[in-house]
Parts: sequence; C-alpha cells; structure tokens
Amino acid sequence: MTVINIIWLIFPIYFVAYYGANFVLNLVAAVSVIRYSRNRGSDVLQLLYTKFEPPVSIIVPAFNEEACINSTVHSLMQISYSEFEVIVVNDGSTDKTLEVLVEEFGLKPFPEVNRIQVKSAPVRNIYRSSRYPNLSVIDKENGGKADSSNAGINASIYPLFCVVDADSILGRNSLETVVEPFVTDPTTVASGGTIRIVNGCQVSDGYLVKVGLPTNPLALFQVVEYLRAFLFGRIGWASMNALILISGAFGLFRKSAVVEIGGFRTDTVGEDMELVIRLHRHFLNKGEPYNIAYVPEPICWTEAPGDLRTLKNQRLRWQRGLSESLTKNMGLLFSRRGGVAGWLAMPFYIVFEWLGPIIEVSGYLFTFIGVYTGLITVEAMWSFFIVAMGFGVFLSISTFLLEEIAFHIYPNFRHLFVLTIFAIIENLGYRQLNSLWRLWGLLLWAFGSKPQWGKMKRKATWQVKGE
Amino acid sequence: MEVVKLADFSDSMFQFAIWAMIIIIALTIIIFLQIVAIHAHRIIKKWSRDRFLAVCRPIVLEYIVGGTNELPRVGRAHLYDFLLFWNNLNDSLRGDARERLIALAYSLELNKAAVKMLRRNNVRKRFMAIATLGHMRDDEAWGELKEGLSDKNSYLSFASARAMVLINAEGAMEHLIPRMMSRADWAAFNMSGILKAAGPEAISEPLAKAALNADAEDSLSLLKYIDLADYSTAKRVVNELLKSAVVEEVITACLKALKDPEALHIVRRHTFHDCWFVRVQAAAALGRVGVESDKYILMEMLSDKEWWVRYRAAKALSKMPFVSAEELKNLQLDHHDRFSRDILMKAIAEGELT
Repeated sequence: MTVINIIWLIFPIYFVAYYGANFVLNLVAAVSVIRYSRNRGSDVLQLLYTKFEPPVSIIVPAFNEEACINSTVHSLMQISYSEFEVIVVNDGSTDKTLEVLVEEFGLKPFPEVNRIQVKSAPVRNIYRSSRYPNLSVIDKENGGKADSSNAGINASIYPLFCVVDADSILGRNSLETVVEPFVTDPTTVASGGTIRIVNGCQVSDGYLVKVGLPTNPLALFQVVEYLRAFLFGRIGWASMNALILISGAFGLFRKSAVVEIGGFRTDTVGEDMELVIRLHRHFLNKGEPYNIAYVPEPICWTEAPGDLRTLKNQRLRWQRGLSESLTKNMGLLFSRRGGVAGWLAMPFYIVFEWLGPIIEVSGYLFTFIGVYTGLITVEAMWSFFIVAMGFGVFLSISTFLLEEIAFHIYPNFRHLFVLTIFAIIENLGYRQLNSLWRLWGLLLWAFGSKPQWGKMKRKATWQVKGE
Repeated sequence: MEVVKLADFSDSMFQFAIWAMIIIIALTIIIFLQIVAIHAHRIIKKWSRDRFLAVCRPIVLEYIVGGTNELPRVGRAHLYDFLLFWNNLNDSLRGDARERLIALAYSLELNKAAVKMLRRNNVRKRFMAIATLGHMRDDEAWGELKEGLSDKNSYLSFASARAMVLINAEGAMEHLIPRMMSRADWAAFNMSGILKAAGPEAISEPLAKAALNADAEDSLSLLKYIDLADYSTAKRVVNELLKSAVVEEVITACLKALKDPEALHIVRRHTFHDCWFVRVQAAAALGRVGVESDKYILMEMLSDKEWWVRYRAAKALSKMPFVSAEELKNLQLDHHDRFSRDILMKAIAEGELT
C-alpha cells in the first residue's frame, strides 16, 4: 500500500469512527429519553409545588439590549415558580438599556451590600424595583458575559442560579422542569435542558404559543443540527454523567459549587462549557459524588442566525470557545480520577469536535485534489462521500424518530417532510461549510487573534403582532 | 505514484461503499416510514379520542348534576382516555357532583378495570390505574396500593401514596412515615403536597410520634413537614426536639419551624452557637417570637463574622415591633462596626422598598 493510500484512508476511517461513536451515543440517549418520557407520562397527578423547591436567582447579562430587555424581564417575572429573583446585569451598555429599565420598572438606587465571592468588573450602581420586589439591576463596567454572570452571582441570594440570555424565550414551566434534578438528587451541581430554535414559531408576551418551522433555509439547517446535538449528543453524555457542555442560553447551577471553583472564567468566549468541564474536574479530584444533569424537555427557545455572516461569526466563536475550554482543562483528559468525562467525553470532543474540522476539510480537499491529479479514482471519491454523507443523513433521521416518540413538538406532516429533506441536503454543502468555519475558528484561536462576541442581527419575526 | 494499486483497492472499497449506501438508504427509509406511521397513528388516535369524548363528555356532565342516569359507553380502546378525562374532572369537582362522579365510576366497574391495568407493565397505565383507585376511594385496592409504595419508580410510589391518602388518610400515614424517612428519592415538594391533601388532623399525631422517637437523621426528614401539622402539635414537637437536639441540622430545622415563645430561652442560647447556620435561624426566630429585650441580642449579632447572620439579625430588627424606624436609622448611623452599618442600611432600604 502506498503512502498516499494510507494517508487517504485516514479520512473515511475518521468518518466511520465519528458516526459510529455518535451512533452509540444515540442508542444510549434513546434509552434515556424513552425512559424519561414514560416516567413523565403523569398526565393525572397534580404534583403540587410548595415551598420546598429551592429558590432560584435568574441572572440576565445584558449588553445593548434596549430593544428587547423590557419584554424579556416582563416574561421572566411571569415564570411559574414559587420563589425566585431576577437580576439584570447591565454590562456597560452604550445604548439606553439602563434607562429603559429604570423607567419601565421604577428602579431606584439601592444600598446593596454584596459579598464579593467571585471576581467581576467594578459595579457602578445597584437598583431595586419599587414595583417588583424580586427584581434588581446591576449597572457595571463592561466586562463581557462571563464577567456579568459573576457580578450576578455576587448579588444573588439564593442557592441556585441560572444565567439566561436576554433574547432567550423560556417556557412558563422551564424553571420547574430544569430544577427537578436538584430536587431528586441533592448531589446535582448543574442542570441543563434542550434548546430549540424559535425561528418560525410564534411568541406572545415572551412565551411560545405555537411551534413552527422557519422558512429560511439556514435556520432550517440549524433546526436539524440542534435536534441532533441536543436530543442525542447531550442526553447521551448526561446519562453517563459526562456532559461537558450546558448551553449558555439557559442552565441552572448550584451557587456554592460555582463559587468554590471561582466562578466563570472571563478570558474565554466559551465560558459556559469551560465552567462545566471545570466542575467535573473539581468534583472528580475531590472524590465527591456529584451530578451534572440534563433534562430532555425543551426549556428554552432561541433565535438562530438567518444570514451567512452572522452564522459564520457564531460558529467561529463556538469553535474558539471549544478550543479554549478544552485546552484550559486538559488536566481532565485521561486523568486517574477522570471518570467517563475524562476518559470518554474529553477524547470524543478533542478528536471529533475540536480537531475534527482539520481532518474533515483536509479529507474533502485531498479527495478533490487527488481526483484532479489522478491519484485517487472517481470511485474512491464517491466511496468517501457516500460514507461521509450517508451516515450523517441516517443519524439525523434517527433523531427525528426519537423526537417523534418522545416529544412530537412538530405537529404537522409537512414539518416532518421538510425536516427530512433538510436532513438530507444538510450534507450537501451546509455541513462542509460548517467544517470550514470550525477550522477557521480553530486557526484563529491557534494564531491568537482576539476573540469577539460580535453582534447578531435579530429579526424576531416570530414575535406576534401587537407586542 | 502507484495509481494501479489504489485503483485495485478502490474497487473493493467502492463496492463496500455501495453496499453501505444501500443499507443506509434502506434503514433511513425504514426509519422515515416509522416516523410517518407514528405520526399518523397519533393523529388518528387523537381524532378517535376527540370523537369519543365529544359523545361521552355531555353524558357524564349531565349525570353528575343528576340530569340523567344514562351511562356512557366506554370500550377497551378508549378506556385510558376516559380514565384521564374522569380523573381530571374528579380533581376539579367537590361535594355531590364528585360523589356522583365516583358512583358513575363504580357503575362502569372502573375499579376492576383499574386493577387489571395496575398489573400491566406499562408505567403510564399503572399511573392512571393508581390515580383512579385513589379517586374512587376503593379500599379493596389497599393491598395493591401498599405494594406500590415500595415501587422503584418514584412517580408510581408517590401516586400510590396519594391514592392511599385519598382512601384513608390516617391509615395511610402508618405506611407513609417509615418511607418518608427511608426513601431519599421522595422529594419534599411532592410529599408535602400529599400531606397537605391528607390534612393536619390525619398527619399531626403520627408525624409527631415518629419525629420525637426517631434518630437525628430521621427526625430531620420529618421536620420538613412539621408546618403541615396542626399548630399545637407542631409547637410541641419543635419545643421538645429543640430541648434535646445536639445535631446542628436538627436544631436549625427546629428554629426554622419555631413560632412560639415558649422555647425562647433555648433560642437565645443558640445565638452563640459555633455553627453559623444555627445562628442564622436563631436570629430569624428571635425576630419572630422575641420580646423587647431580645433586640439587644440581635444588635450584638449585627457584628457577627458571617454575612448571613448579620443579614438575618438586621432583618429581624427591622421587623420587630419594639424597634421603631427612627431607632433603627440611628442605630445604623451610630454603630461602631462598619459591616453592621452596611447590613442595616440594606435591611432598612429593603423595608422602605416594600
């Protein structure tokens, strides 16, 4: 076998390994989801929530959110939960975010005395609402989302906190759903839930009223992606207590555990993933039982980018965040006390998510160049593509099956048909484009360029008229 | 470069890829058809259910107000749907209407159908069966429900507990209390709902007896619910335990539940406890049940090294009827300790806000 053969074989082997690992994850997740949905079939029992569920601090970092912050806060104040507080952290906005909040909620300066438990940028002022006793606003110098979250942690008074993006749409029962692991298992330190795409849905007064599919093709591809990533990927890992990512859009954490590890890191754009990996490391090293849980039900809906530029920026940022989170926590990889997180999850993410784009993009390039120069036959090229794309379609369709069995969020046949079409054509360019962006993000990180959050063009076409 | 060898190799690889593609396509089509079938089945079921309920709902509603004695026809295919409808309706009714609804269920022999359902291996159906037997107050199912308390599935065991409480609340407590102490998966918020449904008359004495005779860990499990007992029983248990408790968590739980000044001397003692969370609850308790002289103890606690103790002491002072707003403000301005001044400022501002 020649060197070219050997090198070229790496690519199909990689794809087989990638899809094989995902398939196993899918099976694990399927068992977990089906068991979960059977146990949740309690149509009849009215589980009465009383004062025993732990109170929660909802932290909302906000930077230049004057357009939507009021509606976000209003919808949060209507969440169905016995005791919670909402802390909006105005992260040095340059627009009128603070002013609109002050006017809308009757905010007044408050002589708050916070314990500084984790580091954050200086706080300029703290406000409390005269109309909503459980609403406060922190005005601080700009420091980024992670820094704002830390400031929120310092101001919070409850044992659990969640960080919610200003543009996230929650369900009225989202807190009740995501808090359940903390109630049923006291060793739980973090809990996340499924994030779904709100594009194409209808939202009224900050709550989802009707599920739909977007018409924008890019958003449709992301619906397929999110279903695959959340329904299989995270559920599979969580069932082994090896979940290393809880989405920054909405996750619930035990404050004492996060304070113990120093809060969110501010030198990464992937602060959500980095925190969770660090939690794993901390408790595994301590030898203390802990649980990082995942609730399969959709608890949060978020707008997906609808144009290429915004999507590209998002994916660049995600890959950077992944790179930073993994490299800052390499100590977990194959460590003696690493558990499933260190021995399975970390290697999986390193090989397939972090370094994977290198192999994927190289594979495509190598194949095209090889065919062009005659080094690789057309048959070999098609073999490679079949393996690379065929499995992808199969995994996506399997996701839909699980979604239909467990949640049936999308009510129409038309939805299923459209999703199936897009699951197929996703592999004919969109995934490859994503691989390219991920590689780009990896290179940007590797060559040390400054990370940026960027600004997403929000369309919010799913808002019902009159809001 | 040896293209020939690659071509030979790539032929077999191509064949493998073709077969793989055929298998993948076949599997994908099968799965897609399965999705379509599940979806279609769900739509058909819903249509059938809606039709069935459109017919039987008016009959049931007429029946419960005494307008008819006609019974709805419930076939096997719609038994689950009817039970769901019946149980939801039962939860929303009171008085004679509920009694007639239960009578309707007995006329339809739903209890027998529920017992059969209970023995199936389907969690959802077992759940429904348990809820039905509870709502029907069927004491013949007591034995089966008692077995359900030990089910590994928390939801099923809770459902059994709730059903038993509905049938015979006092009798149920005898079986519930040992499990409340031993089952770590019985979340307090679920259990408290069930105990609320049982009512203070049924739960007070068994809860008190168990809490006073249990070891520290078990009494802690039970103290969570002491607020649901009647006032005099709760007071007796809390005061008794407070006198004898040495475990910090138990002391804290008792202080939290304390609403009576009888054990005030013990509360004062605990304001000096080594453990900060005991001191927190002692401060809160003094604020609730303390007398005028206790304000000086709280003022001392404003200088505690723990933030939460200082905060609770400040809140307690701000709510005490013996401390006027002016006195509090002067205390805040004149206090020698900076941390005390800060925490008082916060408590005063919170009071003004509300």
